[in-house]
Amino acid sequence: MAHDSTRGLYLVFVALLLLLAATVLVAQVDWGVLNVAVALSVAGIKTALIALFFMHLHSERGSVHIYSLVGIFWLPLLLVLIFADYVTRAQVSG
Amino acid sequence: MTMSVAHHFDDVEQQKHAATLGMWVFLASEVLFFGGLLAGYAVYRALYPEGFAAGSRHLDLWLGTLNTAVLLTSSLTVALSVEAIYSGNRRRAGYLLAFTIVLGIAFLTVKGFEYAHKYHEHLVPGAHFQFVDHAEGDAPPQGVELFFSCYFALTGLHAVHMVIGIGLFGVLVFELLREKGNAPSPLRIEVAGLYWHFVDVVWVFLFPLLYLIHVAE
Repeated sequence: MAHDSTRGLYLVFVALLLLLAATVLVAQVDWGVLNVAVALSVAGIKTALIALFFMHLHSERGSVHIYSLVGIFWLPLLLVLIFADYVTRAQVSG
Repeated sequence: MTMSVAHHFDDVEQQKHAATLGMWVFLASEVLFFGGLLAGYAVYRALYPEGFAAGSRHLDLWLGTLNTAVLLTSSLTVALSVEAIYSGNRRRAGYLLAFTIVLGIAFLTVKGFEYAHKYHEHLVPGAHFQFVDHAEGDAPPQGVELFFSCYFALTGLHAVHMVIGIGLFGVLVFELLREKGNAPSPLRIEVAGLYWHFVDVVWVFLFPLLYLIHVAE
């Protein structure tokens, strides 16, 4: 059983390196706004792999799941509220 | 590997849950610690897209990619070390953590070379900042200096976290590999590992945000 979980860690590692190669290759082509979207999506998938398997989130209890989600809940909220300000400012002055 | 239970816990399971939960709470607060800087980065990148793209092209993509691979590998060695200590293999856990420290120092060394290169190119924000884009030859786009302010603030804060992680692992490696004395509790290795994986995740986002803005063109 210990052997199986070690093998799983190596598989996750290979997946992470492939995702790294993918994100660098995709950035060589200019797709406008899509570049940021793809780059952040790949970073999100890498984060999910690291959190679920390296950080054992898949086998944790409920309250740990809640706190891990709290971490990624507040940051987008911060960004959305800041940009709600900046985007509307530009419209007023422009 | 048997674990001792502190008197204020019912059992090993509850103690483990409390320790990992505590680290996750800390990491959630760390997300917002970096989040403030990231929000500043996002606002200025939205205001000065050309300046940020021009600044990003002056970073070394090859070194950035190499360092990302180094950090991902160090996360693997930490995960393997936690695996080893729970299956009672104290030496293997110690060697894997020692290798993690080597990888962490390798990352910081590459970062140091990048910083030195930026310093010689006058790309450190301040009185001596000077951005000469040889390809274009005309005035630099607005916001390039802000890009480098974000670059040094974000990578600097990340590097401080790595130094702390290397320090934590240094203590654990000493306790794991010394001839006398008890092995450290597997929980301490697991919780320090959670911190290291988080630092890795931060870099996973910093890499595309700093190095991969419009590489094409």
